[in-house]
Amino acid sequence: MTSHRIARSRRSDRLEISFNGTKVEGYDGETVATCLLAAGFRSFGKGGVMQAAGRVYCAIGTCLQCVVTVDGERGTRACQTAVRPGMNVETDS
Amino acid sequence: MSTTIYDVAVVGGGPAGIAAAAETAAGGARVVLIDATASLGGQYFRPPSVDVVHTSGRRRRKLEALGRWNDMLATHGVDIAGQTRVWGVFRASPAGPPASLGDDSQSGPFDIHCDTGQSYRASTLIVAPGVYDRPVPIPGWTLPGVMTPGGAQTLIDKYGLVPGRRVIVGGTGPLQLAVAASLIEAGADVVAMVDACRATDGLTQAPRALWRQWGRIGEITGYLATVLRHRVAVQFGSGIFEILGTEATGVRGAVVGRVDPGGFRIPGTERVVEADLVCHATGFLPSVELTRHLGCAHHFDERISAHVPTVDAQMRTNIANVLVAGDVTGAAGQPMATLQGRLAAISALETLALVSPTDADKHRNRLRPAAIREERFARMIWQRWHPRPGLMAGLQDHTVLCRCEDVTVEAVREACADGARDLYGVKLRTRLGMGTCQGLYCNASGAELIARLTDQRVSDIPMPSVRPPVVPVRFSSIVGERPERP
Repeated sequence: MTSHRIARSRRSDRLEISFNGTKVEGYDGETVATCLLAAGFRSFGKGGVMQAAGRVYCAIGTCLQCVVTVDGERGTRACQTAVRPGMNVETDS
Repeated sequence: MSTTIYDVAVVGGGPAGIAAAAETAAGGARVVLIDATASLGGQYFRPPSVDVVHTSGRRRRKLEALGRWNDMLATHGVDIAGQTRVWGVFRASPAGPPASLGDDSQSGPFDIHCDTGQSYRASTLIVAPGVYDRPVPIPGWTLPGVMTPGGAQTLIDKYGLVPGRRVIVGGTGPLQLAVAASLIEAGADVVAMVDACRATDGLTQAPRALWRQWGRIGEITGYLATVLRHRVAVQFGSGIFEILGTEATGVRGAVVGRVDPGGFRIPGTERVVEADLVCHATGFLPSVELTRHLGCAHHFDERISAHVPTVDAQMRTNIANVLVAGDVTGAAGQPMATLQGRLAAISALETLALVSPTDADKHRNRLRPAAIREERFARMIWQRWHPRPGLMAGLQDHTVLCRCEDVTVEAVREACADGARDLYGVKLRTRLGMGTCQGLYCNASGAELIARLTDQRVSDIPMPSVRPPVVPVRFSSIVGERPERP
């Protein structure tokens, strides 16, 4: 899955978030999920018990497969969380 | 925690909920509209969150229509509770614990508790939660790069993100064609459309169903033109058998082949199609958590093969002052959802004595011809794209059925061999449905599989019980923030 932003979508207010320590580019109005997908991350999880965890499946906040830790808050839906500058996103422990 | 008092609370800000809220408020009611997202519109309007430049007139017109609804909501002073999920509804009772909702001797207003910590009190409740894509459990469906068609559409429309370059759109359902067209318009290469329906399915109904549906004919023609212009390989009577790839690298393709009219694979017809994104679903599942929690009666809708809340022609349920509207009643599409939202509004206003019974009937009669037309259309849609049994139940032993808890088809088979005959029995033995999605993505396929294994009709497999919180919420939004440690 190679996600990319549509060229004809206008974006302002570039910002940066961090995902497991890596800097990731984002824009105002995007979600944690779309930023991570656009940056090339396919899976945000670590596998394990919930093998299918950490990926964007429904993208409407229902399936809870994309949950990550945002600024220390576990179980946050990446697909429903708007990005803010400096946001610290980590794989759910 | 504060409580605000309303005449009407509408839950769900899609076409039905927006219409219900706007029209009850226009009729003089104090209304709150509660929606899970930051901007209203639901899975039909999908308002953009970044500035996506839309080339299609269809999309522009849709957003203009949404703009008019938003203006109407503002004009009539509807309070909007965005990014808010309802986790429980209880009867307000001055003393003692909140009363059970199934008990109709209680007639107090409803206390609607939300994951924001906020609660709303209202005398009438209109529930319009909509539907979501029905998953197809096949080997590989949990890989990164497998999405629901609605998910892909959302990423494109709301965020201007194309989630893949080479895409297979599969399963069956009325959404697939629209999603394929959107993907193409967004620059993706749709390498195959694989649909379990036959090319001619449902078409005998087309002349009646499409009568005076000029807008829809235009819409469908537009999608078809896009798909044909890009020479998408459209394969009817076909299905995706297995999705290929690895956890680390994601999807690399899928095995597709012919299916019989029931959606069951025909061996010997397999071939591999390379792709990095697979959009797969079979129709929709209604979001019935809230109506089930409220104690509303439900029945099995054979057309979409799922339990839906039972409503009369005025959108009333068996619970006094609880109305239900929109796709949750049977996925008849946006025009019907809007009509049902209006019908629910009329009933609510009648109950609140803001409209006389004579005027209410007059309003209803005006909506009837459109409702009949929409019903004809829905009948054709679901005749053509009804969820095939071969797609609904996971049928291969190593397929994961419950992706939150990693429960396989084999585990369900063993549970049934051990005596389980319903979802409750399987849940006790396997944890199916006990994960974070709370069964939304496995209960329906679990019921299909159980029915098959135990020789029952799927309509006879009861839905599992629903208890609050009906959506996953943080503990702090129920009990308040935890105190500082001393």
